[in-house]
Amino acid sequence: MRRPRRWWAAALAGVAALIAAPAAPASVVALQDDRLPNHSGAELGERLDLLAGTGTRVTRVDVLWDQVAPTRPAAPRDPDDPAYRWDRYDEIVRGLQARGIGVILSYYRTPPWGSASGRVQAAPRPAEAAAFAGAMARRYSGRHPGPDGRPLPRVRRFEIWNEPNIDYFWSPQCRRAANGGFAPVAAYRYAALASAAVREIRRAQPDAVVIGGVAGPAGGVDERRKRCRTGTESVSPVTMVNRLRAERVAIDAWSQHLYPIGSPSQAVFFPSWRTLPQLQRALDRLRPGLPIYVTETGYHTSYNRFHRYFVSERQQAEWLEETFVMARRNPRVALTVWFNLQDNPSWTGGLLRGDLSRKPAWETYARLARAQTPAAEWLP
Amino acid sequence: MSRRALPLAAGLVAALVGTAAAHGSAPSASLTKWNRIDGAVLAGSTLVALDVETVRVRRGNRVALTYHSVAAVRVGLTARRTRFARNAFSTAVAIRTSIGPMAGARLAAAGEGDWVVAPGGRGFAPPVVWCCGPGDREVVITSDGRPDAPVPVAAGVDGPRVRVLLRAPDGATRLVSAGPRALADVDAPDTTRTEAPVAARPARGTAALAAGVAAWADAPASGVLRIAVPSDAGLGQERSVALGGRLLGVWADAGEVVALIRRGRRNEVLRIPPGGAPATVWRGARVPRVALGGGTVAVADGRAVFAARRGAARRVATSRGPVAAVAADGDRVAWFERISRRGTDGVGRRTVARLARVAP
Repeated sequence: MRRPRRWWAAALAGVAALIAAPAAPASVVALQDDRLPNHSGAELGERLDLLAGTGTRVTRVDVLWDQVAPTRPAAPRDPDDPAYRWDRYDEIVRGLQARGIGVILSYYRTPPWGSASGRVQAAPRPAEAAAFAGAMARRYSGRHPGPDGRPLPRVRRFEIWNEPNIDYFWSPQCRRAANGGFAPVAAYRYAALASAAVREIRRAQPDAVVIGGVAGPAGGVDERRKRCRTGTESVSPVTMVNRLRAERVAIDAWSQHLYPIGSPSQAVFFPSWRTLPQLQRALDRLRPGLPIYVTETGYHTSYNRFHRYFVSERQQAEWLEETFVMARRNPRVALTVWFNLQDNPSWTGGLLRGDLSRKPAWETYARLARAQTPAAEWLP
Repeated sequence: MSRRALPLAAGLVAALVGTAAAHGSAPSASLTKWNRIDGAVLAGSTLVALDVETVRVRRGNRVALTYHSVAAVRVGLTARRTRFARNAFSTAVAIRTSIGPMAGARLAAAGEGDWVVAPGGRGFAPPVVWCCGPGDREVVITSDGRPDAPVPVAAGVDGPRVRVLLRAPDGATRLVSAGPRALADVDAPDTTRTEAPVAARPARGTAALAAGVAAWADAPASGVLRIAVPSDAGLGQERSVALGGRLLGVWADAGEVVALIRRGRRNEVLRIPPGGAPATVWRGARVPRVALGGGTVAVADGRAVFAARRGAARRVATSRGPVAAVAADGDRVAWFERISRRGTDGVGRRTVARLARVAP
């Protein structure tokens, strides 16, 4: 009987220690709804209300380049080029502003006219993708008029691509080196894109926050023994950082996605909350103290083929709380975005089930989101 | 070239061609650990097995993290199915959770080379996954994380349909039928999916589904097996078969059923043909590993591997270590044997798959 009691005492002490952690600069608690770009009109309004109902004050929105620019623009830096279709994003940004929710715009998906393979995952030509980033930053600079003549809201934070170190979002990842090893071509091309995108965004908004990396949780930390057999093997986030350093890319924050196996405080694989210091050391060589934005994290409550690890709904709620505790304990982590609002068959890490019923994690998230007051710079 | 030299040269060429064809193939294929193997199937020209593990990740001497894994691992066979195309397995589907162990996983195959995996699990509903669609990608047939989600008790491939028996906590059971083979995009919704309520109340571990047959016991250790024909509308042509002993396990394939029963102090493997009565294939003191495929029943008892295409099982091979799992498909049987070797750095453990031919 004594052993379980000791175990419980230790566990309680651990939780108490986590809760009583020294107050660090609070990491912003945020939530993404990846379905926002699928809706418009009244449906979009309902969706935005659902997001606002969680108490979230900051969100991240995917800007799908292939949908905004289905045909090649003649003047790609000009947001008013007739090829661009911003209407859905204008509506989203205005709707978020009306609800007092700040936004990070993250763009990816190569349009057919810019894709070597015709697939949206094809690595873009850096100049073309950077020009689009410039157009986006110009449109949402706070000075640009919308179709009704009223200025569109300002967005300050822009993410360059999504998980460019994973084949599902950026292809090819690697080429076989002369010695049969691993040449991380995705890291080289991404660094070229990031460098050009930083220039374009700054030209439109000199004080914009440009977020680079947006690295998926794959690739490990050590690529010395890695082989490129199919071109799809993931590139390490550390390799991505090192390429950005070699190109002297002046990003303002590094975005890292974390989907740990095990609880946030237990997980030991790279990258996870406990192994972030390994990434921080690499980032310090890019720019000392560079902030980290965890723009995706979460736990799935049933199996899906994109994330093969799942937990119970009760564990999800407990580990959501622990996620934000771990974020708060790391002063480098400025923002943590829970991904996602609602389940779909390919992604079961939502706070809501597919039928919109609430999981226990919804209540936990809402409590944490309502307890925070993000600094004014995060809000619209 | 002389007339005597001609056949010699032809023989030499044939030998060289044969050697070239077998190049890269292997008589065995290995897994590097001694994990639990919860089942194996010969799916067309592929051997698939379920490697079930509780993973303990260590930092120094301390276990930092524990999670549970079921991996469907596979290796191809050569065209004549006499050897393995490679000497190692690769992972096709990996299912991981921190909720609890997934032991008691089941694997079912069809002759076309596809297969379905249904992990075990207490207190939660594990997923059912079919493999493989375009691009060698899996299709999730059921996956439900709600605390009161219905639990899969059996899954199988029935022609173009994958069928799953789902049992809710209140006992209500449904037969889910899906058509993953017809999906051009594995992420697209399956418009052919159906769900039909059934009267069966199958207990987990004593239910099996396959082409043209569903078999189950309504209670654990029952002496009666229920057999029916599944369709998108539910279960039909139900009949009861008295087993003459307590049911321990059941397997199904192409209309046939094999039951493992405990009769007195001995275990028996019974073959139940479509519409027929049970016939004993094997009996012994130990609980054996059993498989059914392509009309062949395979039984492994300790190190002895038996197989029967009809009548009583005969020994087809003697393993070099205890057998962890068997698989059968017509004239082929495969088994997984545990091998340990003492080396300078301790005991090395491997699980080795081998193949044997089954005489007609």
